[in-house]
Amino acid sequence: MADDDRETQLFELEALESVLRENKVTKTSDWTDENAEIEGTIEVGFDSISDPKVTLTGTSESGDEFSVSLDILPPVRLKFKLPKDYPSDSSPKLELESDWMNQEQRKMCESELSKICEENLMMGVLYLCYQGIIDLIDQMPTRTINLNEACKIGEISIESLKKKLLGKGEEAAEEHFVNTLFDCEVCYDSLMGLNCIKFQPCAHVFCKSCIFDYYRSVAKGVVSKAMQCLAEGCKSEASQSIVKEALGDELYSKYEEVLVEKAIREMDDSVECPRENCQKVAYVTDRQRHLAECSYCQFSFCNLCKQTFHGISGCKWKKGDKERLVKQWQEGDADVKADMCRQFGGEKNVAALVERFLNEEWLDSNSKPCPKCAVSIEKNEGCHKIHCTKCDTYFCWLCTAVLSKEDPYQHFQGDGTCSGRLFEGVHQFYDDDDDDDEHDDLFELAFDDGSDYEDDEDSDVEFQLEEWLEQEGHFDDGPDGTTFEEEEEEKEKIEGVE
Amino acid sequence: MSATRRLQKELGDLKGCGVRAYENVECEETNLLKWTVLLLPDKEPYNKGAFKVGITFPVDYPFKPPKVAFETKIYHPNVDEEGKFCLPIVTTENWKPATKTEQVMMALLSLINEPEPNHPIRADVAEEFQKDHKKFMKTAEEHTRKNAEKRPE
Repeated sequence: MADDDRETQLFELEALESVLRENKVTKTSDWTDENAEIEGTIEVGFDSISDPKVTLTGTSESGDEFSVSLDILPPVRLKFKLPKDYPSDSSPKLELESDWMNQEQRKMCESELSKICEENLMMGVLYLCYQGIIDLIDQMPTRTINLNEACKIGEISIESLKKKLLGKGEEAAEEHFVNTLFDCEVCYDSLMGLNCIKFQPCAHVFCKSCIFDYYRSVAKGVVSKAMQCLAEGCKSEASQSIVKEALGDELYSKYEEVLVEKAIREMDDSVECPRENCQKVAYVTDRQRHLAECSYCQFSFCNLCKQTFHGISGCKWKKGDKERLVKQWQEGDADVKADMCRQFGGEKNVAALVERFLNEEWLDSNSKPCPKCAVSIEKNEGCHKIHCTKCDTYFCWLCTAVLSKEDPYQHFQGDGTCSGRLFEGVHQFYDDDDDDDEHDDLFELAFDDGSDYEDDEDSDVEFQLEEWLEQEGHFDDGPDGTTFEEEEEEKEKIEGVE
Repeated sequence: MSATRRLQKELGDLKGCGVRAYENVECEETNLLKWTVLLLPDKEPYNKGAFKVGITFPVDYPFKPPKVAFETKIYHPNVDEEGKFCLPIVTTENWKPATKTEQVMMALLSLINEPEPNHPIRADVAEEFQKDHKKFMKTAEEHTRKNAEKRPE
C-alpha cells in the first residue's frame, strides 16, 4: 500500500509542477529517499485575481502612518508534508506561511484547507488546496492590509516588513507582466509581456520590436527630446537602458551626446568652441569683455568674433571691411587679387574668408538665432510665432522674446509691443528684399529694448560660420554640425526680455 | 512590411467607426498608402458640403506621420488655399506611432467645426472671422456651395 501511495504522491507532484508555472513547487526534502516523507513548498501567487491591486497601510514604529499600493498581492507559501499513507489513509500536513496575513485571515485559510482535505479523502488534494487559497483571497471583501495586524509583526519590524512586501509585490507584478498577453497598438500583434515594454508611470504597453524600430527611426533623424512612450500625447520617457538596447552603442552614444549637449546649451553661459577640431562646450567667463573659454581645449576666445581673445581692442573684422574685401575679391583685377593673396596668406585662405563673409551676410539677412540655443533659424513662411525644434523654445520673430509654451500666441494679443502683429509685414519684408529701410525697421524693432545694442556698430553682429550652411546646401560640402553662435549682447538682451 | 497589416486594420476600423463625419473612406486600389476621406463637418458654414481629405502614409508608417491635406477647396481660417493646415497631432515633432488615423480625423473635424482664429493660416480669413463674422459666414457658405462635393445621402 505504502509503495502505491508513494507512486501516487510523486505522480501528483509531477502533475502539479506541470500545471503551475516553473519554480512554483520547491523540494525541502529528498523526494528520492523512499524512507523519508516528501516535503515541499508551493508558492501561491495572486495575479490571476481579476483586480489584484492591494493597499498596504500601517503605522511605523516612529508613529508615521503610511499607505502604499501594490499592483499584485505578494504570494504566500503553502508548506506540505506528505505522510507515507497519503492519500489512501491520511491527509497531508499543511502549513501556511505569509508575510502579510493577520490572525483572522490565516485562520480562515487554515480552516478552508482542512475542509478541502476532509471533503477529498483518498484523493490528491494539493492542487485543490492551492486553488482554495486563491479563491478565498479573491473573495476577501477589501484589499487593504493593515501591516500592524500581520502575524509576522513581532518577528520583524514593520518598516522592514513593508519593504519586503513592496519588493515581493513588484516581483509578482513583473512575473505577471511577463506572462500576460498584450495587444501592441502599433503593429496590432499579440505578444507575451516578455516581448513587450511597459512605460512608467503611464503603464502603456507596446511590443519591443515596434518600440525599437521607432526609436531607431527617430534617432536617425533630428533628435530634439528624450525618447517617449508611443501612445498619442503621452509624455512618459523611456528608461536609458531601453533606449540603449534599441539604438545599439553607436547610435545611442550619438543620441546621448545630443541630449547632453542640449541640456548644456540650455544653460545660459554656454557657447560652442569655435575651434573646428574641438566644437565642444565653452563658457562665457567674462561678459563685459566677451571672454569665453573652452572647457575642453582651453581655447580663450572673443565671443563676438570667435577669434583668439583680444582683450579691450575691438574685433578684427568690421562689416565694412568684409564688404570691401568681398568686393575686391570679386571685382578686382589680377594685381589686386595677388595683393590680397599675399596679405591673407594664399589664395585658398582668401577664398575661404570671402566665402565665410558671404555666408555670414546671407545668415545676417536671412536668419535669426534662437534666443535660447542660438541655432540659426530661417523663416521662410508663416506667422511670427517661431518654434525652435532644436531646443523646443517658442519665440517671437519680431522681438525675439521667449514665449510661453502653453500659449505662445498670447504674446501677440493684449497690449504688448507685438500685439496684433502676428502676421505683420510677412509679405512686405520677405517678398521685397531690396527694401533696406524696412529691413532696418525690422531689426530696430527687434532690438529696441534700450540695451546698448543699438550703439554698437552693426559690424559687431558677427556669426561664427558653421557647417549648417554647407549642410543645407547653400555652399560647399563640410563636416556635420548644425549650430553657430551669436554675439553676446544679444543674449544679454534676450535674458532681459525673458 | 509591418505597415500593411496596421493600415488594413485601420482602414476597416475607420470604415466601421460609425462616425458619419469621416467614415466615408476609400483607399487607392493599388496603393494602400493613399486614402481619401470624405469629411462631413456638422457645423455651419460647412455642413452643406463634403470635403475630400487626402491622406498619404509614408512607407515607414506608423513610425512617421501621414501627410494630410484637403483636396477640396475650403474657406477656413486654418486651411490655406492649397488645402494645407497645421494639425499638431500629425507634425513630425508630436507624432506617436500609436496615433490612429481615426484620431487624426477627429482632430481635423474639430478644427474645421471650431476654427481657431488665433492660430490662423490665412490671416485675412481669420480677421474676417473675428471682425465681420456675418460676412465670413456668407463667404464661407457661398464658397462651400461652389467648391465642395455633394454630401452622400
